[in-house]
Amino acid sequence: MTRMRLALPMALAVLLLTAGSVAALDDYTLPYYDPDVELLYGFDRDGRVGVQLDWTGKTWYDSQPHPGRVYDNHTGIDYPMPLYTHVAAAKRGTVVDREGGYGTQQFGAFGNFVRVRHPDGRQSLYYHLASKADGGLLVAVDESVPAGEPVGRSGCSGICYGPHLHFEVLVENGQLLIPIDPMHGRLWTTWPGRVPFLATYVRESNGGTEVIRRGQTITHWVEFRNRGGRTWRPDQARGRIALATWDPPAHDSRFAAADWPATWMATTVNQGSVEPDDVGRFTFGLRGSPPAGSYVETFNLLAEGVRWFDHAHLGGYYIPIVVTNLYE
Amino acid sequence: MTIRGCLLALLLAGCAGPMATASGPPSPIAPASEPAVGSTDASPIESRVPAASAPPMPGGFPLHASMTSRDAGSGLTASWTSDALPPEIFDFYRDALEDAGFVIDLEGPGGGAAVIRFHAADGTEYQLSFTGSGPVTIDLGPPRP
Repeated sequence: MTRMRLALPMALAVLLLTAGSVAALDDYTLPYYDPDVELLYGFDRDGRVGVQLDWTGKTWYDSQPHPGRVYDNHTGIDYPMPLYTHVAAAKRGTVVDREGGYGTQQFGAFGNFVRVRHPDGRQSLYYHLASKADGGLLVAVDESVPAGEPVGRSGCSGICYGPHLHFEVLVENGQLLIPIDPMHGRLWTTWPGRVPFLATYVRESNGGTEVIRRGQTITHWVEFRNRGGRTWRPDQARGRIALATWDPPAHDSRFAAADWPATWMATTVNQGSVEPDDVGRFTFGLRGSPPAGSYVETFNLLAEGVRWFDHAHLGGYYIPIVVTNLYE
Repeated sequence: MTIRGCLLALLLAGCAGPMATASGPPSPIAPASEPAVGSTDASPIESRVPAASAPPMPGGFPLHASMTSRDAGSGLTASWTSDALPPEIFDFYRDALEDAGFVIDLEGPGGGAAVIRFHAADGTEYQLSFTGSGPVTIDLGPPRP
């Protein structure tokens, strides 16, 4: 395993920052899933000791940490989060290095990390992770990771005051990796960034109870707004957005109809792509297979092979269903 | 004792908490050489506590009780250092402040720095800033932007 070689020639970093293009839609997303996690300390774009230039362009002339802004000589972004919180790949790429041999809360010069190389030539670093033994590493070197894939779990290894994720974006310069400020460079999909997968309920074909005659199939649709940073698509090998059964996750449904891709998956998103802030529709059949009676079927959105959505943000989506006998 | 004096006394004497537990509750009494916190004197007052009498940090690490106290009209400012590990220091002061009845408004652990913002019963707001890792510099003052 190679040790990271990091350097911070700030003048060069600033040049790279100013030369960087504004990100396209569906680019980097925040490296975690909980939308309530907040930035605590950003990147210091001034290399001088006692002087900090934060992502907003404000300069501070002291050595104090400024919560929500910056602290001295910080080369990444700190996000406090509980121990063992899942950390997400900010963009698709390939794992090029990792370390998991330090204790989850072992203080020292080095800590646990995962580093991913992206197709745009940049790399992202996820630092202070929990130990490999504690499940802090979820990917292997040379493994391809889709955007939003869990790559590790948070810890406090290395130089660390408390559990948090240090997220860093780097550009390669020969053998060196130069940290840049992703906030100033606007690498994120939306300002100041979004978690990869998040949705809110919009409406459905029938917001009340669906009544189905036994043996028959009805069509139901529901719409969710894409509040995350990734574009929803129905046809990706990994990460396609699907509506699947929940509580428990991916259980075989008693209402699976002939159009379901699987007995636990009702459908994939109808549109070819749903950009952030747009509304995606999910249309599927419900077959009255079980005996007459009252039922509830619960669904959640899934980035298949990557991540379930936060069901609470979907309003705990479920469908009340009454199955009646044919001639009732 | 003023709130400021009480606070500083807590922050220093409170360091003896883990040891004091065995013989009774920790006393919020500052070392004899506590600087004149809250003084109206605008000039900095520096006081050095003999290392032998400095209360230990958790884990038995000595507190480098080199402290500067200043009240220039903008609020209390005191600064001291410790060789204890940053996460131990952060956890220690968070717990000590809560135990002493202060209300914590922000816990901000980072990599190379950290902040705890809190307020007293009278609403006065404070900030503990932690920087460095060997030793850690701890600054007490009003909340910063």
